[in-house]
This record gives sequence, structure tokens and C-alpha cells, in this order.
Amino acid sequence: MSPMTKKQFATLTVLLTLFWSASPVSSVKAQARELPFAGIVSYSLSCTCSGTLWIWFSPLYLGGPVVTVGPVVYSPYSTILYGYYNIGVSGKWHLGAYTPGTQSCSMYIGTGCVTIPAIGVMTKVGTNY
Amino acid sequence: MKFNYKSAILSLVFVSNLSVGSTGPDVTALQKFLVSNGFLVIPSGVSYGYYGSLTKTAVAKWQVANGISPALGYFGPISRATLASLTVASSTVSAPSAPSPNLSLEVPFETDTPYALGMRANRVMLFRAFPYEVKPGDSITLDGSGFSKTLNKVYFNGSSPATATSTDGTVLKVSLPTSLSEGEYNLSVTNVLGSSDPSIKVSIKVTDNPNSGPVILSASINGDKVTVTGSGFTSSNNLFTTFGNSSSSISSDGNIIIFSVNELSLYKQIKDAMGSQHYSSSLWIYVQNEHGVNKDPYKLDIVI
Repeated sequence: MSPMTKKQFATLTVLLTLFWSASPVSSVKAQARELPFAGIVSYSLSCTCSGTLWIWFSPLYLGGPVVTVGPVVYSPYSTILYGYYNIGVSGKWHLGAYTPGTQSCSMYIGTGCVTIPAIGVMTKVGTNY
Repeated sequence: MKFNYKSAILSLVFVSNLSVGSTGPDVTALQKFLVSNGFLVIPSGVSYGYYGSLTKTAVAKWQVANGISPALGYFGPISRATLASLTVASSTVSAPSAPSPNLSLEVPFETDTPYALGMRANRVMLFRAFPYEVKPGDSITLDGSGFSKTLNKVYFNGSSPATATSTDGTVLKVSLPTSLSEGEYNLSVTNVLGSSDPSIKVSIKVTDNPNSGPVILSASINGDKVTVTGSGFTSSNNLFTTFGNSSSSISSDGNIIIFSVNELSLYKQIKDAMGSQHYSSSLWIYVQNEHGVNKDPYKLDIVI
């Protein structure tokens, strides 16, 4: 994958800002509980016990200057999904917000299920076509 | 065991009005009340939690039956007060056969079975029992979601139920019945929401000489080699990490496990996706063997 160009980064920043400012939740609540994220999906794993989706992003933009990689969980029970609905599909851009620190992926390993850690759980997400 | 909904819930206290379009635990609680009293039938495959036309019609029927006018299917202040008084009244005149320790008249349904963010609401889910090896009478911790604050029953191979309560809906501490003989037991949890999914087999091993299982104290990486130190490792250990699993078991002297990140099943995919870029990330590690798996994953910060 080629590195992100300045133009792409500027576009993403604007999108993040617009997405965030259009959030229906109150600003106080948003600051306390939600943070923006965006990234390209490398792969995803089905969380066999919790019924959620553990998605690895590379790169992963978390609204600050540092670009990273890592997992964020999509939950069909709590994440608001926007078009184009390509959730967890490799190579697709995802843009949304997440609750940091919340662990929502549980996977079966033989005698029970263990938590597969992630950066957080998505509260809302949209994908590209 | 099937719970009697009306006997388990002594008071249905709703703090907000409900109408078509409403969603959430309040709606589910109302729907379950209507179902248990014959006013509503939830079609197969339809989930609880959405106040649609069926619920509206059922509420209207219930309002007619209880003299509430106009009976328009809107669950407002009059209906809320009526339902609260009815459920309290019915609990005082009925004689429930199911044991109901710690039940409180003041506990509204929506706070009785909390669920973790991201987890499916209104369903009791059992994920894990820790530790894996235990003696009869020992205390174990169950992880899951939708545990009741007032009454859960934990079954061992479908029998020998033990009662337990949860403070947050996600953790349940229970003492093993002393009557359990040695062997492996599949656990299940039942409460007002139903029973945990039997297809997810959560087990413990009852033995007179339990082993504490793997414990990770520290880990480091040098090149692509990861060294994990701790205790409870055996001659055959499996790795479960956020970079994938080990393809084969890894032996240990009991205190040290060494493996290469290249051996993890998803590492190549991660590297390929990054191209020539390098990023800081975290590798979370579980070690599993015949004595169990470490309680919490160990976090190792790395650059990949």
C-alpha cells in the first residue's frame, strides 16, 4: 500500500472534522466517550462468542498527529452503520467514531472464550464503495 | 429451568414514556410483560426491543383490559403507573415457587441485567470461567453479559445449580457445590433473560489437586523473537495473540516460552498491509495449555 499523500490526508482531516461536528450527541458527552477514527481494513476476524467483528486497520488514524495500526471492533448490536456498508472488507476505508477502551470481542479457544483486545468499539462507521 | 417472569420481576418501573419507534431495554421489558400475560406474540425470528405496530396493538389491548382510556397503544404516565401498581400487587398475592433471594421491590427491570457495551442486549451470555482447574467448594469467576443483579443460577453439566448475583452484569462470582466429583463440567447460566448459549461450551475441571494454569509476568521482543516469562507453562502450550495463533504447540521448561512473531498466523498479512512503513503497535498474548489460559492477556508494545 502506498503512503497517504498530503491531499488525501487533508481530505481525510476535513471529513473527520465534518463527521465529528455533525454528530448528534452532545459535545460534552462526545468528548467524554467518543473519539474519531479512520483507516483501511487489512483483515477482520469474527468474534465467535460475542457476535462482533474485530477489524485490523493499517494505517489507522485516531484524530491526532500519530498514525498507527491496530484493531477496532464493530458491533451489530451497538454500532450505527452508514453506507456503503462494506464493514470489515479488506482494502475499504472506514470512517467513524469509537468508544476507547471498551472491549467487545470475545473468541472461543476450546474451554471458553477470551477477550481479544482492541482500541475500542465503534459507535458509528461508514465505508467507501 | 424456566423462570416465571412474573414471579421473578416484582416491580416493572418505567422511567420514560414509550411509543412507536422507541427502542431499548425498556421496550424489551414491556414486551416480555405483554408476552407473559398473553397480549403479545413475538413472531419467530423477530427480536425484542423495538416498539412497532405489534407492540402498539398489544399495549392497546392491555390498556382496554385494565380500563385505561383512551386505549391508543401509547405507553404514557397513566399506563406506567398502572403497570407498576399491578406488578407490585401481583407479587404480593402470588406465591412464586422459584427461590428469589435478594429480590428488591425497588429494582426496575432495565437495571437488573446490565450488558456490556457492544454486546447483545437482553440475552444472558457466558464467555468464560476462571480458573479452569478447581476444587469442590472453590470460588470461580464467570465472565459474560446480561447477568442478573438479583438472581442467576449456574448449572454444572445441567445440574447442581448454584445461585449467584452480579453487580455489573458482566462478572459473576460463584462457589462450586461441594458435591461435585472430579471431572470436567460444562457450565451454563440461567436468569430472567433465559439461558446462556449451549453451543458455546464453557468448562471447568474439578480436581483435588488443581494447577493454577499459565501466568505471564513479563515479555520482551528482540528482532522477531518474543520471550515470555511466567509460570504454569508446560511441555505443550498454544498461543492466542492479536497477531494470530501459533501454528503448533510450543514447549517450555515451565517458566519461559520463546517464539517468533513470524510464526503467528496473521503476522504476514499485517506486514504485507503495511508495505515498507513501520508503526508502533501492541501484541496481546494468551498462553493456553492443559491447565487453562492466563486470566488477562499480556500486552507487549512493539514496532512492526
